[in-house]
Amino acid sequence: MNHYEPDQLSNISVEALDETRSKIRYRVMSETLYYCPGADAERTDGELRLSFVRCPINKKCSVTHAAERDASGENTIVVDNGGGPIVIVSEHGRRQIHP
Amino acid sequence: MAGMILGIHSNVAGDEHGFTAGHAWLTITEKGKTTFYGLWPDAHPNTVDNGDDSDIRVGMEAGDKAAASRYYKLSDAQADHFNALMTANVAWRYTNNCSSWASEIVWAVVREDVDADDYLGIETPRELGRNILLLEQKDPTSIHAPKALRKNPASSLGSSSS
Repeated sequence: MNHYEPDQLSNISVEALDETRSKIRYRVMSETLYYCPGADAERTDGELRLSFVRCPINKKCSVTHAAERDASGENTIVVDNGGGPIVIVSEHGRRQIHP
Repeated sequence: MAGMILGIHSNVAGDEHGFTAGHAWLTITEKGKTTFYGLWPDAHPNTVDNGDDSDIRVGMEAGDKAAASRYYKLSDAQADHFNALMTANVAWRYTNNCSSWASEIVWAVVREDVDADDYLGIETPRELGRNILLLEQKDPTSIHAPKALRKNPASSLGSSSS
């Protein structure tokens, strides 16, 4: 599975919805031949690791957290991070986005 | 239409990016307002499948950050020519994609060759971006200092390239 590198995501914001869940808003770089259906999440070593899936446009890629995309191109997912750290991970990079 | 500035952009530049990576697009900036134009396939989940209607979409790149950009100040005739080209019914294909279309429009309007030809002659955003950066290195432009090219004043709409 191909994933977006942290620097291919932008305008990332994290909003705590309650003690355990957070809403993450983000944008991915436009690509003619790929799209982002959402992220795969895995809780490891006390942190929630998110891998944002880079899916070819002629395929449907399954994700643990499907994104909702608005008309401006901003995506939103809601995750259960248990109030702990959230980190974006990919093949070549890692970026903590919360706290 | 005095003061229209045409921009050509790519969000990837060079071989470190994959052959199929990224996207290329055009902008028109006039009186401080920028409009975005890109060629997108109907099959893309982020576009509306409009069937046989034109695959030129407006506004989809508004949130994007370009890795490479070049800007041209258009004459009134060139601006008219650009606007006419945006009304064409253009179909996205692998061999007529976002980068080849953007390159062709710039050639048609201002007669500068911003090459997008990658391996086997397939045009790609990464190659377009690479050549934008090369052109900018020799002859920088910006949204505030666009290049004026009058080689193709487009006094006739019949003077577009093939």
